[in-house]
Amino acid sequence: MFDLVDLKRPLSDPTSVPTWEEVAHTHGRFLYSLAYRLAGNHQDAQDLVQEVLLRVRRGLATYQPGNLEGWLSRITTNAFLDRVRKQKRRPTQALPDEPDRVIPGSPGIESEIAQRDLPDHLQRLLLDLPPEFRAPVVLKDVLGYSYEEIAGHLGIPIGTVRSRIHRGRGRLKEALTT
Amino acid sequence: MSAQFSDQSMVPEEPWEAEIAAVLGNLPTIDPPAGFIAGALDHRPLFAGRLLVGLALGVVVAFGASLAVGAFGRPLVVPELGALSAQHAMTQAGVLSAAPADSEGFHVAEEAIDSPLDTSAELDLRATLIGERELRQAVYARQGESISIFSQPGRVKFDELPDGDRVMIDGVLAWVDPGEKVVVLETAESAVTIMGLTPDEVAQAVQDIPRRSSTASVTDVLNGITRELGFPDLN
Repeated sequence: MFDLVDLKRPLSDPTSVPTWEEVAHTHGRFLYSLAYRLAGNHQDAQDLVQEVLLRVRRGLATYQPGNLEGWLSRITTNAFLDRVRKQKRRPTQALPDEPDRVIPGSPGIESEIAQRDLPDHLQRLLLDLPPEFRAPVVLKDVLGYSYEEIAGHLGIPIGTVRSRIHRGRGRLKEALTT
Repeated sequence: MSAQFSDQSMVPEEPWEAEIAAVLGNLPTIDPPAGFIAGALDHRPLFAGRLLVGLALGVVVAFGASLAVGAFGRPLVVPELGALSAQHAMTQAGVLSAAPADSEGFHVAEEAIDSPLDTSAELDLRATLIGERELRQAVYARQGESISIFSQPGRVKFDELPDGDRVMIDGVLAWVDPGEKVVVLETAESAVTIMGLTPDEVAQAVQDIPRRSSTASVTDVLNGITRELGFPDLN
């Protein structure tokens, strides 16, 4: 007999485990946007999303219904960092973990960047950040996760998360105002 | 300006940091290229091959590339439900009088009329019509009403369909209009619009088609349906 899978179950039901296809269809845009912000271009974003969908498919067997987007964010970010570690296609100079380093403030960031093609410009600047700094900045400032959540996603201490976000933001600010 | 505390972790956040966070937070969502997600889903066998057996990389990549060309080369289509509904209604009268006639934009595919008919079946194929842009319509009669199955090459652009419910039928995404007997889904090659059957009836029709093997896909099943209706296989 042909298996009919949940014909009447809404895709948005948060209490049930979605199928792989449901995740792809309902959260594909979310995954792609995050992947693009992390990877910086469409080709790498597509490769990353395909890798993420593989991991999602494997992981659904153990997924506990709840914060699906949080789970997907964790998978995407870790897949991104894994790819960076393996490929090292874009050598970058890591920023030092120096929590006490102070990025000097200056007024008028928004006015400085108002004249530019902001989204593209910001994306280029994000791409200049070392991946280990870019990921927490994207998770915090683009997706709005808390420091605790990001620490959980990345498996690093919260102090390190805080430091990397501070450093990353500082690098962005310097780039935007020079 | 003094530092502020940003969230539960009580992290002192400088004002300039909040500005950076604000501009980053306003970055727009990036849409995937048209058909990308559906194309990725089509590549399941390739993914499985990578995972399970670690096939020789060159072979896998070449195979994947050939699949990608096919998947991404297919046009995205939005079934014109209003026009299809009108066509369905127009042919209904002709079908029920056992004299299906050409209607505007369509002509009867004479060669398909000779497809074997199972006269004992509850559903009785009455006509196969071909419209513009390779749009095909099979008209089925059943107890004083008719059912149309439209198919056209391409992928369904689900986001541009009217408000409706999205459901899964054996892993295939389908759009259904809860108030009408309209179901839109896609097979490996075609966008399929079924008018005159409820989603449950579509599912039942799928169930009634014997599986050719334990791994038969929904495409196999839909091909069984369309074969019954006189269509060629959908892929």
